[in-house]
Amino acid sequence: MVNGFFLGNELIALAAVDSGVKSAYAYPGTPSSEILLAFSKFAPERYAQWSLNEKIALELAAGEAISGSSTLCCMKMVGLNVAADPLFSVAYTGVDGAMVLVSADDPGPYSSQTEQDSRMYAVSAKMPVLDPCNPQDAYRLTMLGYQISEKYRLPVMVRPVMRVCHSRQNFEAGDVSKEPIHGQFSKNTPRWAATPKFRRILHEKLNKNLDLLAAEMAPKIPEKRYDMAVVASGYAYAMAKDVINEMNLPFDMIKVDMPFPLDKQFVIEAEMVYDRIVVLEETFPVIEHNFTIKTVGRLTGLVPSEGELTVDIIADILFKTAGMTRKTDKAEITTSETPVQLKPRLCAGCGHRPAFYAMKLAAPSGIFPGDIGCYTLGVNLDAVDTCICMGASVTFAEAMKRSNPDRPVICTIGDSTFFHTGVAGLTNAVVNSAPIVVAILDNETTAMTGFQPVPHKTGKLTIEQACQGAGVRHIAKVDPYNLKKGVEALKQALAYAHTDNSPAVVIFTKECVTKTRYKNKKIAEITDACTDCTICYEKFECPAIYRDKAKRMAKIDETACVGCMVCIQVCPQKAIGVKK
Amino acid sequence: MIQGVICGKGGQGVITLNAMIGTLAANMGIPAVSAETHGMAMRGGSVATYIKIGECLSAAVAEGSADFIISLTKDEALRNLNYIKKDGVIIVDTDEPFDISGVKIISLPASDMAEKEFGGRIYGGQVLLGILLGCFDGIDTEKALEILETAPKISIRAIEYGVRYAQTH
Ligand code: SF4
Ligand code: SF4
Repeated sequence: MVNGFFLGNELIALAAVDSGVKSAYAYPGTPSSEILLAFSKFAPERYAQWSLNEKIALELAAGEAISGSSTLCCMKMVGLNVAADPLFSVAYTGVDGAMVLVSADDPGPYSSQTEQDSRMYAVSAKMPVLDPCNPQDAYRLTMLGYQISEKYRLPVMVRPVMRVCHSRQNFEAGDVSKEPIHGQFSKNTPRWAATPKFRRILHEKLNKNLDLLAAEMAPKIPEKRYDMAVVASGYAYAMAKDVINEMNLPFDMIKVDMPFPLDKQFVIEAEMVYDRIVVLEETFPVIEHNFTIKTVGRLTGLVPSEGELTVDIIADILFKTAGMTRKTDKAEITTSETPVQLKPRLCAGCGHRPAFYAMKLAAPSGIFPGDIGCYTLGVNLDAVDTCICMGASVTFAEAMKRSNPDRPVICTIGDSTFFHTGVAGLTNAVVNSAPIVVAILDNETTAMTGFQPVPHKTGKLTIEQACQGAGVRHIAKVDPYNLKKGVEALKQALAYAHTDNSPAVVIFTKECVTKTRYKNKKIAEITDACTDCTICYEKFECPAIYRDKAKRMAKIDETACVGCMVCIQVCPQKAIGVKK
Repeated sequence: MIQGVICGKGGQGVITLNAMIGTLAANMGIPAVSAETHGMAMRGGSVATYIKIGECLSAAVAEGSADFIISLTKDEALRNLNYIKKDGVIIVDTDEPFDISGVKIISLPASDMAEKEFGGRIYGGQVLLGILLGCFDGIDTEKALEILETAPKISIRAIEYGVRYAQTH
């Protein structure tokens, strides 16, 4: 029996446990990261793996499900781009046990490169997709996902948006946990190893299954109270329902649990019953595309096509459609103060900061392709020039160098991202003689998403070995806290890359500062020699250093300083020392 | 229904505070939904979380409908002013004066007080929660404290300190 106030991600994990999932696979990514952790918390004896990337995670989950077992696979929506290849294929073959793929979307976006809608993938791969509206609903729909998967032998996608993953809600669970479902592989070549001829047959079977499923899951049209209805799924449904209840708006509500496949008969009936239908969903018009008449939404320009849907946007849309004016109880506040804008920054004492600083010193005219992680915040130090997708730092470095042969190119990639997709790019750079420097920022964890483990901390392989295996012949290891050594290592690597026409690697290793327990820590101190040149708090931007406006000099926040002592090496006036 | 915004800077314990309020409600048998932001924003950026206590499906607080705002910094309180409703209360952790009118404001250096009283700035949030319990009619303070019994001793002391502060100021 579980009782309490739970994250959406925790309830998805609990539903997987209660459905009899044997193995769970994931690659971390906000907002999906807490699911696997919670799975292990609820069922420590079951198998859970942080895979190297999402394609691998999905193939492992599918492979076991094809063997008749029940599995869970979790990722964020941009991870689904990486896993798209197996996604489309497994939709055709189906599974023998059960499999739910959770792909978490990030409308906003808050922590992502795009606002893409995983349900669009579900539509084009022809995979059923469920769209929960809050944590309790995420539990219900994940359970339902496993029931559908078992019944139809199809993989099922559950698509929560960030507001569902990272909402908490009160929840009481019963004692329903099923024993893990463990199957055996039975050979079936026309299905599991289908050639194009058999693929057509699988496709036809899939289409039939989808029609049956759509009919079974057709949304319910309520007893008619109004001439207008809101058809909605996901968090947009939860917000719309709250707005309609709280503000007494004249709409019937229809919840769509499964945006794809959507029952055609339901659409026809809804259009017959209502004079006006408002479709609310995030972030693409997946449901709305099924409607043809009397319907307003994103396709008609009523709902914005970018950004997160907020309760205020939804309220305005509904009031407008109802021809009513919205009044609020807003306080009328007068104030002369304006808030200072806060931007996210690398932590005080983070090893990435001096590595970026060293790059700028070693190659002032350099081009610095970056990657995805905390270290994308290297933009604040002007040491991240591009950020495209996981692993693109290395490939962009090769490409940038080819287009800009006269400029030094140093790219940065984190340890987890390196193993995710960096190794393949690095191999390509070796094979194609790219004279670039790859700075691997090794903080020994996947920090941004909540400190998931990294491959080289298992003790089974090292980053150097992976680089050697990729064919790299110049590899240096440095402690980023030693700024001088860092600059030297980068200069040597650049020189090597240019003379040998081959990539060189510099590995900056420093444990993530949030993991370091400082005992009797020493801290830095600024003396009167400070000329307020701004370097330490603006260029180096340590968050523990701020400007003392009255004294016109830099000052150290003693509770924030962790004593990395890099600022001492950065200050041109030798104005910073160790506090006695 | 009680609606609130709890905000501050990444790393200050905003999310913990929100979860604490929600857990409290859940343990009192009142349904609640909250929403948080994780990831990039947690690295020192602005963090705003929302909570609705009562029968509802989402944690989305509309502009002008928050009964309370608890902010761990003055800047974040200012940034979220648009959420507060007419008779709402804003509780802010700051030692700076606050030039504002048109809404009830309780501002105090809660983290400094927490460091002095309980040996950690992180308990500042609990002091603010105590103030909310002490000054807000929507919640049964006695019952809340009874239910909080199971929380770590030091947290309870910080909350009680806040309740007393609210009752005496
Ligand atoms: S780098 Fe040195 S001189 Fe410049 S502001 Fe900082 S302490 Fe002062
Ligand atoms: S020693 Fe200097 S650079 Fe390091 S955390 Fe303290 S103030 Fe920041």
